[in-house]
Amino acid sequence: MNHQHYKDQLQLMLYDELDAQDRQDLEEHLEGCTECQAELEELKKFHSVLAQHMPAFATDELLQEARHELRGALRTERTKQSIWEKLADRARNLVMPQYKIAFSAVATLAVGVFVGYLVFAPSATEREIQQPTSPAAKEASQPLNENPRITNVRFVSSDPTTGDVEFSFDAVKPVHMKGSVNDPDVQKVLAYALLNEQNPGVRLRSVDVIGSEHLKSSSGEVEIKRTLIAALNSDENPGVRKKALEVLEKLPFDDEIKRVFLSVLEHDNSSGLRIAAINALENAWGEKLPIDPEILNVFKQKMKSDDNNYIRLRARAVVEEMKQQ
Amino acid sequence: MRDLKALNDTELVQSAQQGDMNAFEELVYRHDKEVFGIAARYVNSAEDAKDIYQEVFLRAYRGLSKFRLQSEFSTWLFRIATNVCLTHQDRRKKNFPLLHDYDTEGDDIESRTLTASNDTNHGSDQDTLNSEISQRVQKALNELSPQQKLVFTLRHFEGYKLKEIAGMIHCSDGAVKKYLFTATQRMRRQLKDLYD
Repeated sequence: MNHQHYKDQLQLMLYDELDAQDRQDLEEHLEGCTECQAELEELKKFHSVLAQHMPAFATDELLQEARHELRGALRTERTKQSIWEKLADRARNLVMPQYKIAFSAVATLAVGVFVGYLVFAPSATEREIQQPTSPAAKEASQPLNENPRITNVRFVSSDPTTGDVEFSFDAVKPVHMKGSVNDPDVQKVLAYALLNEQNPGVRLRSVDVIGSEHLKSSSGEVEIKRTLIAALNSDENPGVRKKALEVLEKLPFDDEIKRVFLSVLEHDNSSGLRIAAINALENAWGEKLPIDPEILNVFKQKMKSDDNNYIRLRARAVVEEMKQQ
Repeated sequence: MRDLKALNDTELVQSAQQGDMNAFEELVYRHDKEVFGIAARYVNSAEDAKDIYQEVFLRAYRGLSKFRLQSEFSTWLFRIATNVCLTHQDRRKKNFPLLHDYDTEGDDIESRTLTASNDTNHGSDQDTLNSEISQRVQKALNELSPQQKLVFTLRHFEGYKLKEIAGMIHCSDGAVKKYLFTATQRMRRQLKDLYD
């Protein structure tokens, strides 16, 4: 065996990656080889320099930030998926038993019309000749007389011989809406704003409106609750999360709400939010006997491991109070 | 309601595959510290580390339905992590190095402070010297090839066994050793004056 082999083995030995036999061979070699002894010393010094000057490592706070950003990204990912799910649902609804016959009849009629068109329609060349080529002729799926904002123009084709051009675009127009917060359409817009608006002020206002009004009616409560839970879980703005928590606190305490409060207490990087979650859980638990072991476990964990001294004390006080019950 | 903490990774994966987002989040919380550690050590930039972290879990989320549980979830996840690291390119021209306290506001100042392994209270000369040496170590790491840097980082700083690293980056034990030996040789050449 040459020295290079043993030098490589020395590295593995320092990483404790040698099996017993190789280690014994190396030690025997080392006893009689000054070159490898010197190499070992140098390697140890190199490791010592690295140990004293290791590159920085990430803190828990940075990890919490990354988690928050990930929640936002996952929310977007889920939204994309749910659009496909909705389309699939609509397709499924079309073939629900009660509509099956009507759908079959319409489909048969459509196939008949299409076959008739293929058989009796003039050829493509004839169509081109017969088609009026007025420069004013235009087709648009969206009327433009309401001055919408036009974005995302995509050219499909153009015909230099006739001057016709085909393209598509998005026409966005402002909509003014006024109605009761209990109206499902209004709720839908508010929920959308809460989850998707870029401006945190708008998101905050949306939670505010939902919180102040929606409790008057139970209609749409489940949807609103889920929206608030999503905001509390993943909104990047602590003010919005806090507001969402306050509104959820007013709703009847259930497993979903319990889970999200526990999640805030365990993972939210804002100590203010974690304290608010402790208060919310404590209040809810007061009404909900006997002791919930899941809540108790999280509180026990927090009293030992939370970075914030006040939270550790609060968690300990709650645990002790629970034990006295 | 089920206690997700009581479930093992396989059970959580199965639930997540059926659309249970809480199960997926539990998987994230179980393994994201290691993923973030790998990313942070590899790029030494807070923003890039967060980018890698997010990319890893988004890929895991998108690919979860195809994951057949033929390996541990963590092995699969770390494989994604190493793959993302190897293909990662700095997306921002201006990076925020982990050793640098970048602009912060209010209460966040403390949370943005990043930890070096050798916090000391020496005088400013010693601090400057330490900082320079740390920068040289980082520079030497950055001059390695992506594979050498990843293997060296995982073995030396993160403490993964060579066999585990081979599983993560999909190559033989021999190839991993070769990356490690070459990386060490090059690092030693670069830093020789520091320990001579």
